[in-house]
Amino acid sequence: MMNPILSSSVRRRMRGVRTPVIIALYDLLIAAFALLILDGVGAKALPMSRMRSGIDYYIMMLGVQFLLTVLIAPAMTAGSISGERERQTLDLLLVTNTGAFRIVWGKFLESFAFAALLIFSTLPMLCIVMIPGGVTLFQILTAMLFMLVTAFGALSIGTLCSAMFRRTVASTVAAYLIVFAIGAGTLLVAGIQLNGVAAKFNYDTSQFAQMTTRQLMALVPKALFVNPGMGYLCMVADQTLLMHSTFNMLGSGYYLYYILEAMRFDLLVWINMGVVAALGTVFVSASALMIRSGRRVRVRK
Amino acid sequence: MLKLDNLTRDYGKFRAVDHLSLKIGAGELHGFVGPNGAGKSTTMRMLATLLAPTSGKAYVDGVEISRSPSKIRRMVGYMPDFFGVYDGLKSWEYLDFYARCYHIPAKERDRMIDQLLELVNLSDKKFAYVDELSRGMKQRLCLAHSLIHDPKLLILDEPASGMDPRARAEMKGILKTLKEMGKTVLISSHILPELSEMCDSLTIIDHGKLVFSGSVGALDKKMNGNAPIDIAFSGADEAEIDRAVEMLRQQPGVTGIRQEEAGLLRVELDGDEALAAGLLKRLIADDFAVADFHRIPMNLEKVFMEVTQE
Repeated sequence: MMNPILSSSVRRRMRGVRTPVIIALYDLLIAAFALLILDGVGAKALPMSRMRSGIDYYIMMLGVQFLLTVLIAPAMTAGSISGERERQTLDLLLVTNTGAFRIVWGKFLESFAFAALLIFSTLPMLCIVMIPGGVTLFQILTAMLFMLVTAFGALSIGTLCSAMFRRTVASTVAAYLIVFAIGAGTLLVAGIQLNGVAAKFNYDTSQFAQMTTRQLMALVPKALFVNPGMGYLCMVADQTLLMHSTFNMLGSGYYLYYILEAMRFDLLVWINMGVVAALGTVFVSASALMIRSGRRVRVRK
Repeated sequence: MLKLDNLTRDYGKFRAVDHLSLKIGAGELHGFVGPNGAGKSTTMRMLATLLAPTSGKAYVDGVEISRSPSKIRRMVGYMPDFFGVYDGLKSWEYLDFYARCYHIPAKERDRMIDQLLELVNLSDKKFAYVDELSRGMKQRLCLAHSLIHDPKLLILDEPASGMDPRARAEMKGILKTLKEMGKTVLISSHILPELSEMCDSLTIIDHGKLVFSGSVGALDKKMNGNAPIDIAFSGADEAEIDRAVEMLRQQPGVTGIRQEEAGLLRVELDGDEALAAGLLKRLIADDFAVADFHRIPMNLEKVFMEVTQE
């Protein structure tokens, strides 16, 4: 039988005008960005001769969508459990034979389905890049998958906080703090590690080409695996080979660029997706344990 | 059906439920009374598997609550004192949702939903949005939801709070039907008279401790065993009343007589029912025209204040 929490939430979400309006607004926002970017790359139209402009457009569109996903997703689930608590409906669910595990996953998957809908609704705008060419459909779909995994991870953080905190406000703040910590914190740790690696190799990048993947892997700061931002950069670097200067901006990042280039960028993208998906799964499952714990009990006067 | 054995629950240092032991038979409508904060909700939440007891045990139909919560959930219907509803859901969908949560097969769901809506008089609201129902209707719908999996034991936490008298009367009617259906019902309230009218038995708790548990009659006896008896005489003149007073004064157990009205005597009787019966027999034998003979109904409000005072 289908998860009742999922089917009921989907029905409520899709009822009325609210959801179509949200999707329309989101797509309008993306479209506004698309026009802005096209204007910026100096291409009102994208003929074959403007292939480079098309790729620039693609990179920026993915960047915008990536940022929007990371910024919106945590708030989408930050109220999923705490909201039930505030609305006093959680107890009614917990006394049913649908376990905490299925309750939490049902709520989470419903949010994820909506996020996926938002992401896929922008696909046509992303596909404008196919007019001049330079990016294949397979690459665009890979990028979509990457966005889905990123959303999965960000949503799971919202769910975890929502289970931990009684109030949605507290949960939302905590979720954004965690997202920020993952985004900035891992870069900081990775930067320090990379400085060490760079010093060890005497700032020479020529040796990486001869090293095995395993040897190269040992040099990559592991903290980067959990950072979808790094996954995004690697994916774009892999698809367009245009990210050299961006990596240069990240301190010792140029060093990382050569390491990753030698071990192939797409490897890190897939590892990143795997790690984020696994962490997300753990977070959501852990949430189920938390709504069962006795901590949320309060003394009623 | 339900057995509590030294059930205890602490919140930090505060002991909300203190070694509570009681028994409720199958098919009983059992009232659970106590002032606000006495531990009623905590006890009920433990029985609904929402809270783990700090110590002690509780059994529903022989199954210990913390040992197999999923079995308990199948047997127990729970209506909390405060609850919310989802926006954008119709009444039948609301019930359907919870039916799915209890894994009730599709075929039975439709039948069950119609029956329950009928039971709580909401058949005409089947396609109305839940958030647009009145408070009383929501409470009835929530009651229906707690019955969706056909539980043996119903736990209703202040189901009548905030209801107007008409809604209360309706709720009483529903509870009566439930009793006829053979459900065991544990219903809480902080208003004793409300429950004593319809319940078979009562439990009174205060500060987490048991004050009284037993039948309504037993409570009556315990609290008001020595309540005065009002005797009304039909068409009795002054002399007749004097004759009665004279006779009654000599009866065993009579400690005082007061004339309330022209044909009404209030007799203080220190003794059991047999004595009261003897008194009535004697009155009849002496050819008094007794129109009414009854113990003054106990003032439950007063009893409540008495048993729950600091």
